[in-house]
Amino acid sequence: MPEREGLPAVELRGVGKRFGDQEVLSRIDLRVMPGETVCILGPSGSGKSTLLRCVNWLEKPDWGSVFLNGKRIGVRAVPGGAVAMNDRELAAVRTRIGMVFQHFNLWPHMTVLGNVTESPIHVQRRPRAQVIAEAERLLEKVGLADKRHVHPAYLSGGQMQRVAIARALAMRPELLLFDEPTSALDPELVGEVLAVMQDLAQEGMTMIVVTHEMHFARDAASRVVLLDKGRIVEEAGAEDFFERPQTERSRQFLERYSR
Amino acid sequence: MTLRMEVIWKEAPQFAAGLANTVWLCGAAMVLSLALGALFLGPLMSRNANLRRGAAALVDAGRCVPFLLLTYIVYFGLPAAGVVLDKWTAALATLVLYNTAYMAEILRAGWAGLPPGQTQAARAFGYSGFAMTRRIILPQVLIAVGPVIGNQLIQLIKDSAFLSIITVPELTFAANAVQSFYFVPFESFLAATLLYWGLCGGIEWLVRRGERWAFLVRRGHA
Repeated sequence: MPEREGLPAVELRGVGKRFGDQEVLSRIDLRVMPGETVCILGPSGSGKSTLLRCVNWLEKPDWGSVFLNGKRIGVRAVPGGAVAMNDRELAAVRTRIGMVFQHFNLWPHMTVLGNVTESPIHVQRRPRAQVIAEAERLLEKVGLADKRHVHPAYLSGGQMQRVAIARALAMRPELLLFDEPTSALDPELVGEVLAVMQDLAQEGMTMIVVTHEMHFARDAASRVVLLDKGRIVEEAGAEDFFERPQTERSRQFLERYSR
Repeated sequence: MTLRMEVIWKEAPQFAAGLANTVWLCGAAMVLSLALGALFLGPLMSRNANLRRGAAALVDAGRCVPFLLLTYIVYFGLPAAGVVLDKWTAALATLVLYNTAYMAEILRAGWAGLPPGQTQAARAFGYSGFAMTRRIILPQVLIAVGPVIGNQLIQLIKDSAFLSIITVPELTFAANAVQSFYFVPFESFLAATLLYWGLCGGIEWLVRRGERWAFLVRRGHA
């Protein structure tokens, strides 16, 4: 896997997190280059979701730093040091990062179109007409143009998740985070969501995907990171990882999950 | 026993005026206390434990005073402290004071019942603070607790009968005035009861219509 040149879209330096006495992430270093799809694999409780949430500071890292396109986030430089960003500053940073959740987390009191246009109109304050036109294009892209005036209650899980992806894309994000996007879906609905994600990967969207879908990781990821007990066990190109895993732990993991 | 319903018909305007007063007093009190209750949400859901406990204690104190006693305090007690309110202001103030405590608690419970993913998504999409409450949290909370608010409104309407004690001409006061003038207690109080039933039945009907929205929100949380 050739090392790409230039500024990483995201860089984590020594990021760690503890909940009480338990260290759930230990000094993670990770770089994601623009256009890359990085899949984070690992058993339950390995810290995958926490790692993802540290990227947009939904979870505040206890150590280390996070850079988005070269700019440190979460803290702000002041003369003689740095202070933690306040809620408003963090919110502004988060508008540059799209996120898709395991349980979709659509806003049920809004229609599908309302969900997709909500933040671009009311947070980013982009022109309403332009946002709506773009949202309709995005809904078309995820195959749900005909559902735009429907409330989430009337959608299947797969449809909800595709709306959630359109909602994240409508922010025109520099980076998309996926937190186990297919884990809450009935098996027959997983494919439609993965297909959308695969298209995005091919179009060069920068994505970090926490997933248990080995086939997706193999087909769509530029790189794979295996996390175990809060540490990176192996980081490799997708093909290398699946064909020639370097560590015993990776081989063990692949044996258990690749079927 | 012969019912003298013609007296009730003759005094219909007085009953109508009483009903109208009950409706506007309770309606206005509901709107005001809902807004005030929403203001309590910040402190009640605060990460600061002292602020949270203080607000909760205030809300509990409000909920645990009998409405009649609160009316006495506001109308008869406050003048001793130099605060003299006319009966209308005292009536509205008492209703609002009493009901705000309930609204705050109802809204807090509604918010606590919201899946945490809703706030997480709001934060992830750039919301924070008041805008997040207004656009994402509060609409869902209001829809979810709509039926409870409807019940509380019915409770408030029934409690408002106590306002006749401080001579506010609401429905119960009107019924009492008619019965004592014509000596028709059964007819007069029956008429008032029927009007309360009609009013509360209407609220029940609205609540049931609102349940469709509550369903939308519950199912949409997936």
